This record gives sequence, structure tokens and C-alpha cells, in this order.
Amino acid sequence: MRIINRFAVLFILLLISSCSEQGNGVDFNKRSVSVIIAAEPPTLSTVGPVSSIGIFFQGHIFEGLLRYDENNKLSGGVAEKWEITPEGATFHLRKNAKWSDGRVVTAHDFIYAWRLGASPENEYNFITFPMKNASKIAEGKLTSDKLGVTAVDDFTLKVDFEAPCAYFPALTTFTTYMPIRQDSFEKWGADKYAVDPEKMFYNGPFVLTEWKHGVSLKMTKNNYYWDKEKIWLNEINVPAITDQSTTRFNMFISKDVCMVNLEDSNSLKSALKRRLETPMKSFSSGFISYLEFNNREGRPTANKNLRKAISLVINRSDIVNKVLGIPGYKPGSTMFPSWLGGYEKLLHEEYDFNLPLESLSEAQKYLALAKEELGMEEITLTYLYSGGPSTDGMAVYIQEQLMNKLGIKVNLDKQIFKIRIAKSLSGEFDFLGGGWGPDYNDPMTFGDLLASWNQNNRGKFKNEKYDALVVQANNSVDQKERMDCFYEMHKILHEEVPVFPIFESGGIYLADPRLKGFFRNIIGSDPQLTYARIEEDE
Amino acid sequence: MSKYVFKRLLSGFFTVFFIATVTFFGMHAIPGDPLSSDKVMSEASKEALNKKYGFDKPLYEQYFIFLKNTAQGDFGMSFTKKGQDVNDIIKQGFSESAKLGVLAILFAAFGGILWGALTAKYRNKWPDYLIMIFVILGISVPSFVFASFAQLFIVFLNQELNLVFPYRGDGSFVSLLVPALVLGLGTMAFLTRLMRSSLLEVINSDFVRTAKAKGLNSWQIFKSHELRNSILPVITILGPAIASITTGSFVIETIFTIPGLGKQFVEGVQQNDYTLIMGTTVFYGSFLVLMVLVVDIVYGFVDPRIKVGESK
Repeated sequence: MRIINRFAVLFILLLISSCSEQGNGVDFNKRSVSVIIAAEPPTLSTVGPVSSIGIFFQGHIFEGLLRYDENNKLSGGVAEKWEITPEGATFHLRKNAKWSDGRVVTAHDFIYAWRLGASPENEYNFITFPMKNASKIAEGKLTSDKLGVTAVDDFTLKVDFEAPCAYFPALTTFTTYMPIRQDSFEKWGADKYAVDPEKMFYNGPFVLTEWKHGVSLKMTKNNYYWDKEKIWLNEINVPAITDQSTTRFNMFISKDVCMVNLEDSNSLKSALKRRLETPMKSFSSGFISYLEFNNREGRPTANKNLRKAISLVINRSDIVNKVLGIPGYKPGSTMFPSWLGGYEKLLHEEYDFNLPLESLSEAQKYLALAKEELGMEEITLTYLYSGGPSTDGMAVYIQEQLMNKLGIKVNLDKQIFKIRIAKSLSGEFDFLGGGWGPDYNDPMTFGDLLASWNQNNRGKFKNEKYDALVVQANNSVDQKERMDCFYEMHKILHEEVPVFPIFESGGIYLADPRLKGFFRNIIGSDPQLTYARIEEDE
Repeated sequence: MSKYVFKRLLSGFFTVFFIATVTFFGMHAIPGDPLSSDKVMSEASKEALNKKYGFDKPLYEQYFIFLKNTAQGDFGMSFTKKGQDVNDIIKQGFSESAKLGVLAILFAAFGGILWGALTAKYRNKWPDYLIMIFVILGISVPSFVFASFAQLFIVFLNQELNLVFPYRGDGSFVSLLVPALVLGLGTMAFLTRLMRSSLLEVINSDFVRTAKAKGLNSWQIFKSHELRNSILPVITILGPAIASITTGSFVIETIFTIPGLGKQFVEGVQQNDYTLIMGTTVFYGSFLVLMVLVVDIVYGFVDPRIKVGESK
């Protein structure tokens, strides 16, 4: 018995000693915050695979020519001032922008990075295409030193455009446009650069000081950062990595992280049940989800009347409110989501994107026409999709609507993500559940998706008028003219239905009320904690 | 004995070789590749990357390169976890999973034997019924349910009682206890049933009656006659169970944020990370083959009637 007692004492001691202090989600004294991430970034190299989780870190540890300031407005980053003309742009770099080892950031660091960014080996090289020769370099027809960017001197960077690019200044905040230290990149090589804290240099407000792979990461304030007076936080911790929403919610409840997304109805329910004092706020992910029809020859969905018939029997608000029930989602009637900016205000405030739909009874008419044109009595379609329970619900809803209202049989082809991508590219579907997220803050990031030359146009939709509008919007610097183009594109999509937009996704999140000055972003780091501060406990 | 072990190792080698070959070609037959992502790459980019990673070579050539590297103990670099060697990923993941797994196996083995013995001793009495209800729950309820509930329960207790008991793996030993218990639950339940039926058989056998007649007390009978004779099936199961539990569980690891190997299996497949899939598969295959061999050798020690390596 005595032995057992000793064990019990030992065990209790062990318990007490191993328990950490509760709640370091926000720590006023240490000036630190903790956040939880769903997946580990594959790399932090700005010319490696682009991922939103990578961008979260990159937006804190690197800085481009421009950045979003403490009011989330576009302002000078490494560049002090800049001029833009239809032919190109000139950026004047500040002389006190430094790397984390004290070396000054020069125009050459940008040129080195951008040349890597345009090379065929960078899968995101399309983002450099506004620069002269970039698309030819990406195709391997020119060497990367032909890229339209030159250093007039160490602190002046001159960019030549392929075509006028009104949104180029905003584009320089994108991760591919961050500078790279040539010595570090060459020392480690493309595959090993930026996969450990010591394998890169930093020029952003923070430096990565810890990266235990698969376990945790930590960023601390960069003392060489030129604007460090504005940075209040000392530490941003990522104590764990998990895609389990319940675990993340439990971490927030235990005050071990400062913020949590409630991405499904279950976590929202449990949050409501607990009657938390923390206010719930909504955020937008910027993504648009849609059905994409296969326009390849021989597919029934290449028939416009069939697409119209289908589009008339699917009710967006039913899918969003009754089928998915995910908080923060809203029905979307266009490929140009409502958060996009127009020429002065928001795009949706300047144009009416909710064009009237024809009545349900028209669907039968279109279906009859389609059957006649196709010469088919019975129509069977394959719906390709991937994802979890919510996309299953949507698939079943679509299957049922098409069967009940149009008599079309739908076969569900559910695949894991990678296989869905492969099948969608090879055209093995009639329609698929697709989604698209923005790369930069301009309607073009959605607009050129359905251009006939775009590889991501998986349904191979081809419309000459649409293509011409994309080119026109691309070549213009007049914002009003460009927005008119986008609206015309929307009208074509509304008429031709190559895609049927369903919803804009988003969510509800909880944040510690003491945490101030952070931003939930659609483009760039989400959340952006650079200018965050913590209010003192009362 | 050594000849037997050698023979078994040789056949094990061919088993693993077979597993690796089938996995290799199966994996390449699946549409998609490690490089594909939501946004399509241009043809030029694809070509450049395929060349860089050797995907432009014919499949049989890639297969021989894989065999050559594997023979040298090198699984290559992961495609989705940039700059990380698959060997390192396995080493690191396995050390975490094994810690958790050994604990889970201890829970499962001791629990299984204990509850099994109790149910057999009190057959058709209330302890038997009570334990068997839990056993059926343990077998039929998937582990993620237990895991989620366990975590929720700890968080709830912490809040109500102002405790700070770890509700997720934070690297400490204590934080592994609950995940290990949950992880071992299914095996424990299974072992309980196994132990119960095999002990029941032994209890009714002649030699136990003889022992009773000799006047041994019930503890002595249990210890030296019943337990030893009924534990063999448990050991049979334990071998493969050790192999599968110590190599990690995806569900437990993601819920309790333990950076183990189980996650790597699933993520590797989801991402089509060829090198990671092959690395984890070959590792798991070899480990399993080895554990089964160990179990066969252990038989000999537990039951002297079994002569390992001697043909009849």
C-alpha cells in the first residue's frame, strides 16, 4: 500500500509541476499574443508554393514596396514614394529599410526576387505578368534577366509594364513581390531556403525565431525594422497546429489563443450555448463558390439552354440558409464578390449585380429547347466535387432539385481535392463545384478567370466578347472604364451561364476583447497583427 | 533459432518489397500529382517542375530510382513540406507517436487483462455485465467521439474548478495521459473480450480443477495456471496492435495537437506527396513485419510447449 501512496503523491506532484500557466492567448506584460493555425505553411519562401497560411507569416516577416498601414490603407513600405504611368512605375526606396542583419534593403533585392518570381519554376508566376516580358519568361522563351524591371540606382526601382496596370502599386504588397536576399537564397538553394528560421533574412516588422515543424512557430519583433516605433507587440506565438475546429475552439475557451474562427454551424452552436461574453464578429474570406459547367464539345452542358434551365431551379438562398447554414456565408449572384472596390465606392454600390432572374416556369421551356437541340430524351449529368459534409449537402440538394424540377439525373462524383483538380482539368465532368479566391485587390483577379486562355477556366468557356472585355480592362488605366467592362462581363455571364455563382464564403470569429488594432483581411495576412495592441487588464 | 529468424526476416523483406511496389504503382495511377494545386500552373511551369523532380522520366525509371534510394535508407525530400527529409519527418513523428503509443499499449494491455479476468471470474454476475457494456461501447464508438468528449470534459472541468490540466499535447508527460487512454480504448475493449473468452476456457479445464484439489488458493491458481495459459491470444493481438498504435493515429493526433506520425500518413495521401507516402508505407510495413516476428518468438517464452523454429 505504501508504494501505491508514493506513486499517488509522485503523480500529483507531476501534475502540478507540468501544468503551465493558464491563458497566454494575450499577455499584456510580455506584449505577446497567440494564434492557432489549421495547417503548417509548406515553406515561407515567397517564390515557393503560395498558401494563405504562408501569406499570414510572410505578411508579418517580410515587407514589399508598399504595405497596408495601421488603418489598413495602402501606404509606403520599403518604398517611400512612387509614380505610376501607363507605361510603367518608379519606386523610390527609403534608405533606412534594413534586413534583420542590419544590411540595407536595396532595389537589387527586389529585382532578384521578381526574376525568381517570373521564372517557369514558380507556379505563381502569372502574378508577375503585368511586368514587361514576364509572360514570355514564364513560358521559358526569354531568360529572367529580360524582365521589365531595372535598378536606376540602389534606391530607385523602375518597372516597365507589358500593358497599363492600374493596380500595380497594390500588387507590390503580394507575397511574390517581397524582396529576397540573394546570398541567403543561393546559400540554401530553392528547396531549403526559408524552411527554418535561420535559413532566411527578414525585412518586415517581425522575425521568425522558432519553427518546430508540425508543432509550433514564433515571431518576435524585428529591431532592425525601419518603422519599429509603431509596432507594439513583442511576440506572436503559434502554439499548435490543428485543423480540428473543436480543438481550436477549446483553445480559445481556455484563453490559450486570442482569436478563433467558427467555421461550421456546430462550433457556432457550442459558442452560443456557452453564452460567451466575447462579441461575435463576421469576416469574409473573399472566396466565391460556383457551379462551373463543362463547355467542351460533346458535353450536354455545352448547351446554353440546358445551363439556363439548371440555373433557374437552383435557389441560392436555400443553399446558403437551409442546406449549408454556415454563419458568415451569403448568397452570391455574381463572380465579382461584394467586397471588391469599384472606381470610387464598392463595386456593388456602383452597379446592380442582382439582375432579375427569369421565372421558374421558364426553366421547362429552356429544358425542352435543350432536349430538342441535343436530341436527347433523358439527360444524365455528372457532378464533380470534393470536400466535407457541407458540400455533400449541397450536392444532394442540387441532385434533388434537378431530378424533381427538371427530371435530370445527376451522378455525384465526390473525390479528394487533388483528384478533383486533376479530373476538372482533363474535363471529366458535366458540372463541378468550384471556388475561387482573389490574389490581388482588383476585380480582374476574378474577371480573367473565364477568359478563354486562362488555364483555370476548367469548363473551357469561350466567348469572344468576354475575352475582348478582359483585354480592354487590362489595357486601360481609367478606373471607370475598367469597372464598366467588369459589369459588362457580369452581364455576359448572367446571359450565358458558363458558371452559376452560389455564395461568398466567410465566417464568424471570436477575439479576445482586450486585443485591439488587428485586421481580418481578404487580401494579404489574415489576421494582420502587425499593429495589434493589448489593453491592460482592469 | 537464428536460422528461423533469418528465414522470417527474408520473407519479411519480400513482403515489404511487395507492399512498396504495389503502393508505388497504385499511387502513381491516381490522378493528380504532388505539384497540382487549386490554381493551375502553366504548361511551362509544369514542365520545369516535372523536370526538376524527375516526373518527366518513365515510371519504371522512377521506380528504380526509388528502389535504389530506399536500399540506401533514403526516402528523399517531401514535396509538400519543403526542405524536409522524409527520414526526418518519420523519425520525429515516430518518436512522438511511440511515446503516446507505448502508454496506450500499457493502458490497453493491463486494462484488457484486468477487465477480462474480472469478467471471467464474475461471469454472468453484475461486474461482468457492467464491464461488457463498456467493452461494447469501446469497440463500437469511434475514437474521435471519445477524444472530443474527453477534451471537452477537461476544458469544462478546468473552467468550473479553475484547474489547468492540459487538454491537448503540449509536450509534457501529463498531457499524454488522456490521449493515450483514448487511443488505447478500442484495443483495451477488444483485449478484454479476448481475455474473457480464453480465460473462461481455461477456468473450466482439468488442470485448474486439479490445482484447486491440491489446495492452492485462488490467487495462486490465477497467477500460475489460469493467466499464463490464457494470455497467448492476447499476445498474438498485441504484436500488430503495437505496430499500429505506436505509428500514430490521425484523429487523436489532430484533436490533441500531437505532432505524430499518424498525421503524416493521412496528409501524405491527401497531398499526393509521393516521397512521404512511400516513406511512411515502407516504414510501417517493416515495423509491422518485425513486430509479428517478435510476437512469434515471445510465444516460446510464454508457453514452453511452443518451440520456435522447429518443424514438427
